[in-house]
Amino acid sequence: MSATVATPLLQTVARKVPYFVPALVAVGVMLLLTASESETFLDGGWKLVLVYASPLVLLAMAQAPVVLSGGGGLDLSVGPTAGLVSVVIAAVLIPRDLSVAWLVIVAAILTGAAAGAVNATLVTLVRIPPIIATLATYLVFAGLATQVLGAPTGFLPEWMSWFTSVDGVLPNVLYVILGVGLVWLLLTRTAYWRNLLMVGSNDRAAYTAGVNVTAVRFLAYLLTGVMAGVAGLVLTAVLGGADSTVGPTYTLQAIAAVALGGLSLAGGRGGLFGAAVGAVLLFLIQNYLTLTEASSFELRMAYGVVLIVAIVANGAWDRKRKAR
Amino acid sequence: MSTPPIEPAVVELAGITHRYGPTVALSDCRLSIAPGEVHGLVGENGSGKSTVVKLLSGIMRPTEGEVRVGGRAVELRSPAAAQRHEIVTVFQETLVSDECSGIDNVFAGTDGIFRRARSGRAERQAAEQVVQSLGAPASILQSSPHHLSLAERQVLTLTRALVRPWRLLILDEATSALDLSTRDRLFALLDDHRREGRSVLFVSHRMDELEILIDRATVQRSGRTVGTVDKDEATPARLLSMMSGRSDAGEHHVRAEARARKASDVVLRGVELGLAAQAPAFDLDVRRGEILGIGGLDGQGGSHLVEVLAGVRPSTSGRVEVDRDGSWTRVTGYRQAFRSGIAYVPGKRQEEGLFPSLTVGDNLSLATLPRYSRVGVFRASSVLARVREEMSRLGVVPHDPSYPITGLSGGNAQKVLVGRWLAAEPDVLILNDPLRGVDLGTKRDFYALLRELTEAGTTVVMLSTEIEELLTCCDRVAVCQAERVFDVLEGEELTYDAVLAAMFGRHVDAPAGPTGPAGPAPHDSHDRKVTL
Repeated sequence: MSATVATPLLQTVARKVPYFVPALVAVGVMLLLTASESETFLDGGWKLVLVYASPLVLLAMAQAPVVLSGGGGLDLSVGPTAGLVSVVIAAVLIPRDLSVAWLVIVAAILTGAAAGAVNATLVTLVRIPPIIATLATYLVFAGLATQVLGAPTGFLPEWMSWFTSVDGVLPNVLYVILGVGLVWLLLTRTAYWRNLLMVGSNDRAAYTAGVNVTAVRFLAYLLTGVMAGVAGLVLTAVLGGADSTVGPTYTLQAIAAVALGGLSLAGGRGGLFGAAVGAVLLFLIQNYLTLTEASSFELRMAYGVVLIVAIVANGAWDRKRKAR
Repeated sequence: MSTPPIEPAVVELAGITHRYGPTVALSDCRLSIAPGEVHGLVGENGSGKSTVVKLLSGIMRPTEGEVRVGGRAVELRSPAAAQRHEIVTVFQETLVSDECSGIDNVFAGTDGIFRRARSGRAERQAAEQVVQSLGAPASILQSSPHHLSLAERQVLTLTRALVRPWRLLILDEATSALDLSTRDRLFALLDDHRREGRSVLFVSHRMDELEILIDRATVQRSGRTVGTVDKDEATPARLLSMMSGRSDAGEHHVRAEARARKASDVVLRGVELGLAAQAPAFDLDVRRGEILGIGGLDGQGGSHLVEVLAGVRPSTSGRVEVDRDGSWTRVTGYRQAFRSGIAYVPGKRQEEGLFPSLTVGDNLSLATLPRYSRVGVFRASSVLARVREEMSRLGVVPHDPSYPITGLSGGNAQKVLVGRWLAAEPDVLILNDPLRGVDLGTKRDFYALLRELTEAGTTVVMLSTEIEELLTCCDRVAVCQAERVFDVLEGEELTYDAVLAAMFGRHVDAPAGPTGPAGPAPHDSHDRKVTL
């Protein structure tokens, strides 16, 4: 009989419309607001905004796989990982004249992967709850970065300014973001995507169906680490150097961005695109408030309110969708 | 006992012992499944049958002993490993992910971490064939399963098992979520597979299903294997006595003497009730001191009816009224119903009834705390005394109020849940399928408890999906079909065939007897007395 009953409009909308659309609409609104506030925004100013937003965008994308993998999946250490990567580049490689592009890029990815592997091991093999395990590695990575680099430095090789260049039609960081997105897109064409969503939304069902839950989650943490490594590389370029205290500040913003982007923090629903959109939204809100000369306290309060609104709306959306 | 099969066993458990810490769940378990047979595995809760299922499906490994597949000792380290040995399992819980489409739910676990085992097209074809042979629409594969019924979700997990290569299918109470027509299709399908030499391990509490399906049955009691019997020996009475170790077990099937209640003494009534937008309205009287059973196939309105009677769900039309000292009070919501003496025990005890982080005692006393309190403060000792009293009345094992509720077996947890509302001394107790997945011994205790309650003047309304249960413990049975009460059966009319027929919207000719025609079935009097 349920088939004959007309489904309410809101429910149909919630079922048909992809999870990231509300965030995308909000980004559109923020773009209009920003353009009305700043004359230069449409005239190339947006490129610079994107460059400054790019570390957050990449870190939000990095956060996505572990959140999707469920079981309370979360990586608090993405910020410090990015910070550690920038310290490795600025304080380990460059002073030793190891500043060739490919070497720096490989080192950034490997450092991120190593950090991800540590988290993956702690969470999936030692079985420490993700929030505890990654809080511990947050402290360790942040401490390690400060240990290696006490004071900020600012000597970078010439080629790294490529990341911050806005001379082209599109800012170059956009290619980095699209590149990461492309790799992820290829990954979603494999069985891994199905495995990840299954594990994230119902790990018992996945396990009894024969999915290797441990391997799928391990890989999610590893991927998060690798992407945090890429974010670290871009962060170094955007900062024009390394500062061990900057990385950690990104962690909570990245998690807020993921929630804003419509991903379920319980796992199993969402994707990298939503995380990126959420990060852009968060950055635009911040940017707009700065433009309107709001104080930094107001800025923080706005963050908190936005986060609560996002999570409440997320939950309501989900209930509509799941209503029978 | 049975003669050993001539062919080598498909799967064999030899001298298996399994311990959880100091608890022995299984000792010296022997089980041998021949090719092409449906092997029943029966036993009460705690008899070790779920441990057997977990061992065979790779969820646990035995402490001692060997699992043999095709005569060779194997180690089943994970469900994936069990599947590589072509052992597939469908569990009672419908293990479905709501975020993946039906087809992804079916084929998850067949792939590698990255590598897909089949093309999307091959997956669709294989799955559609199985889904359709189970009588479900292929559309359940495309959408995400949020809005699917319990039965349709279970069709997905059945399909998940059947699309894999298998020689042993384990059905662990998997049929309890199915509606009757899907179940019958499944049984027919299993018959075909059996002819091709595949085997089924069938774990069920339903004697009628076991009788239809099995070739042999192994009986477990308290972690030990009592024995294996052939089909002709495996009568319900025999199986029950093997399970319980008591000889009087067959008595379970003897229907308790139904007591005639005065038709005029009504305690709760539905007047021109409509359960769904299009469904015809009906009247229903609940008589004081009776056990009124509510039957019907899944999704035919039975569950809606008990929820409406309890005030948990509003009716589409009409009203529910309860007798309060001689005058009719309309039921408008569950709080008001509770104050008017109606207690409702929800069906899915894990999701809707129990508080997993609290103790047995807390779970039991929750609804009645205000009665022990003075200005909002209560004395723990007086509550505890009452809790102990209730626990011994209900026979909750272990008899320990501080025990965590999650440590109880299903049957004992259900007793606690019912006990919570009994402590409120309701006039009418409404139970929504209280005994789904509960073992027979507990069921028997429970029926006796309900009898006792009605002797003391309480009225019981109980929804059950099992016909035998309705026959065993109810005075009258209202059968729901197409979102209305189709028929109310009592006395001589209350037979297995009559209930089954009514579930399908038919009437059987009532045997001639002193009892007159049963309760009203308005709006369809023209098609009464159609023989099934």
